[in-house]
Amino acid sequence: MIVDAGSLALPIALLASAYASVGSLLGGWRGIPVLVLSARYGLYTVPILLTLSTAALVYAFVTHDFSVRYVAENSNLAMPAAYTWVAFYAGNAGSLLFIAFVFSIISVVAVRGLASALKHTAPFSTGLIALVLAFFLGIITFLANPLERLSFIPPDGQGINPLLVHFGMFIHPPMQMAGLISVALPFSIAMGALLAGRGGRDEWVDIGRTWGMISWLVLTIGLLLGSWWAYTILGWGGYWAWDPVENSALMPWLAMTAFVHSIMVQKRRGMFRMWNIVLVAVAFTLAEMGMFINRGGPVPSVHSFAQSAMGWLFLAFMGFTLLGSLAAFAWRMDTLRSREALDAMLSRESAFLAQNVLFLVVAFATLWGTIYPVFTQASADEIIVVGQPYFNRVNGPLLLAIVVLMGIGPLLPWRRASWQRVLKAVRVPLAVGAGTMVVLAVAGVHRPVALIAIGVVALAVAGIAHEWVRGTLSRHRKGESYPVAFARLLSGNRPRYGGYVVHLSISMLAVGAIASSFYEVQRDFSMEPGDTQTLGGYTFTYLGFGRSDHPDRSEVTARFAASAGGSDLGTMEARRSFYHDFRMSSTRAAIRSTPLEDFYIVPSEFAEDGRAVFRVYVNPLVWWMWAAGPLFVLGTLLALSPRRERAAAALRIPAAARLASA
Amino acid sequence: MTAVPESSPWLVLVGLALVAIPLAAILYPFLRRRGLHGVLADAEPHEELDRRWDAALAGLRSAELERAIGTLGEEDYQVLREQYMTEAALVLRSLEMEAGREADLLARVEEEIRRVREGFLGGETDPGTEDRE
Amino acid sequence: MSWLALAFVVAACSATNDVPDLERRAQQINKSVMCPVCPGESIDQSQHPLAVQMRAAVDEKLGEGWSDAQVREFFVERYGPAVLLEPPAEGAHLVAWIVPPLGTALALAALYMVVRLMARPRSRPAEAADEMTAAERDEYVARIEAVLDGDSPRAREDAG
Repeated sequence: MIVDAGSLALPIALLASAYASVGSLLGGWRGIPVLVLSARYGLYTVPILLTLSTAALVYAFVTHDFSVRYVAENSNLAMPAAYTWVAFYAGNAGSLLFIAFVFSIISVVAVRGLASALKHTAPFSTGLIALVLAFFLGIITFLANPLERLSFIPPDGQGINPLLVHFGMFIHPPMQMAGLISVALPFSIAMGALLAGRGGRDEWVDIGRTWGMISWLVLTIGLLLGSWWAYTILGWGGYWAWDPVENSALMPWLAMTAFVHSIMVQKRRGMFRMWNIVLVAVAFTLAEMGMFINRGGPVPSVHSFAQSAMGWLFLAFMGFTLLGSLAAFAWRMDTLRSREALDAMLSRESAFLAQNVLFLVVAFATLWGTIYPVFTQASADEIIVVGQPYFNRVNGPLLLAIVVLMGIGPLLPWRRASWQRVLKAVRVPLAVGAGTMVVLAVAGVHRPVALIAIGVVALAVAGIAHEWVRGTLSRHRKGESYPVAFARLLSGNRPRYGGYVVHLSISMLAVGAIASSFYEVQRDFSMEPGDTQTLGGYTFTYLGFGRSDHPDRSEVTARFAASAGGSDLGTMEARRSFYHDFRMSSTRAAIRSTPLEDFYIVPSEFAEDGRAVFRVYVNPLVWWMWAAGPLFVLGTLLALSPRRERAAAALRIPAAARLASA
Repeated sequence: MTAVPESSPWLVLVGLALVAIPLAAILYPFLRRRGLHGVLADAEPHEELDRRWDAALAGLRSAELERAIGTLGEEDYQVLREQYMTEAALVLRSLEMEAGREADLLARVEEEIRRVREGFLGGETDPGTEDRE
Repeated sequence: MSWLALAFVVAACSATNDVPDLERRAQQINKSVMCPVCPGESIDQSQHPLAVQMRAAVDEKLGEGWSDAQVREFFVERYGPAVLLEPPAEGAHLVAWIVPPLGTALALAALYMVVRLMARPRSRPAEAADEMTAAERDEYVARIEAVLDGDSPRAREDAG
């Protein structure tokens, strides 16, 4: 009963959001307040209806209602109840419902804010948001209804994809999906302002930046959790493979990174008005492409769990977005002239622009590598693979250039900088970077690329540290104690210092990535129970393995006694599970992680006589990559926390000031 | 479209109830026809000024910070400060004029009301108004 | 940061010498050769029997003194160019390699042009700035400074 009600709610939600879209756009265009209000209220009911559908699907999972096709395909009686949450989005139809549900909720939050803050823009933005929602609901209703019934009731379901049975799967896919869809919000806000003919007023910038940063933060968390999941469960010792789906999640992130930087220039200077709208349109197009590649796109990938022909509908919607944005842009371009001119070529503004260009170039190179195989197959019927080695070589130098800019850019003052001053300011970080390289070279790091990379990161960190020290000192000179001066420095200009905190976390990420990609040690060992081996200062004894059978899988667990430099590390366990129904195995590595390095054992083969082959890694500094995550969140929140100056304060003090100046 | 095994009368009722939710929300503004004022109203004129004020003050603060840190030279600082100050002063003056106009308008409206009321009451003054003034 | 750098040195020196040179070369090759039957995975990652076989072949050929390029060529001859995880840097596929750096160069050139264009001094719209008398301006400046001082250390201490 509740399942059928939930199923009925879907077409109704589709109609409501379609009405909201048309009504809002028409009402905004012709200036009909009653229609705008009615459309907005209509949109508000969509999350209510989708809550019912979502609850219905959860209910079907919990009660093992296998007459629902999606439940039969993605769960079975043996599945623990906690995995209902994962099973919900394990397949195509459910993940679409999840996206629509989440998007409908954040849309209502955003639209409520818009309706009170930007009265002219809101109808257009709301119309666009509702249009995106209607697209998803249309696909769910007509092509991928997760609540669709089977004509018979199977005794048991097929179970959940074993690769998804991992703690990381509780957060990574939902974050990733929410991140991709949430790019629609800054896009709709900016495009709504453009359509309303108010792109040239910077009124949309504050709310657009807020939603842009929220979306960017969620995308970042999704990417980091995805890497973490790959590292701990895919069992190949790495965290990023430049797989097409990873790339398709990275590209919108890159474009959004450009956006959250350049929007600051519009906020502060009323410049880059056209550029910001272009950036956010590019980001949304790339986000749509991400969803397209995830759902039956043309590129083979380990992630394509949800293959289907509807991918092409996503492509069509993407084309529509792109062309529509272009048309709107051409139509309203004259409203987007900058308020001010660039004062000098060397300035914070031009550094931001350079950052934008570099990020877009990385996104473009990634896109090029991702779709190149599609080109060759279509044009020459030749199958070509573009994988990790290509991307490392092409994007590596660009990413290093970005880190350099991250070190130098923030040292440029707004509006104008003189070369002498900049050179003077850059001296200290440059010296630290060069010094680090010398020290490392003397200490025994001899690979030039690794040396340069670490030197560059040291430069970036030194740039930030130098700024913080100087800033704190200058406040200290005015009579504040050091901790107070530092705290007030950070809270006095939150977008700036939040940005620095994010830069620090990116530096940590970079150090981890550089160290582990250049100095990872990997070796295969064939061992009998009782054998002892060493690698990179770690000694480990293979104690043997045990088998255990579960209803859905059989597991082999290998145990090790490990020690490092004479100190005992206790027992480590690596597991390999085989899922009968899926004919698929998943691996859980044994990982001993310290800030210095990870000691990582993956089982690759078990023979009947107890022999086994293990792949053992010593991965330096990977810990720092995961530690960067919380710092990143902290920095973004700091940069987001509002501080509004209102001119009212100045209007209220004339008398006092007159006295003071007299 | 949606696979419903058998259409029980209950389901029809549920469907109607579900349709009623968005329908009520959509029709509400048409039926009520009130509270529409301000749905499409222009942004307050001083919002644009407020934004420019924010930007100018942020500029002044960051210039000061950058001078203290040492990335901005004294000469450049003075130029920037001059520019930001002028911008902030202009904004402040416009805001004041805006406020003055608003007060003017308000006073004129009040005057009008009083005149109308006086005419309506035939010269009798409302004791309540008198007290307040 | 210095601690991190130090850690890096220790990490870099500690383990690399434990793996024989030949094996490290084999790993590099394994990571650049795709397992033909498991899309997207290198033979280094994959546990498929074919990948295991190919890894053994790499070890064998290197043991016989083949160069890295020869080993890769060997696989290309048997499985076609798609067996490599990067497009060959020759012939028509040179395009794959040239486009990103070319795009970067063009984008940077465009950036330079745009910044130069934007930085050209433009005549600002004559705003009411000139209409303000010096005395008027001074008064406004005093008030703005009062607002600015509201969060300077001195003002805070006075207040507290």
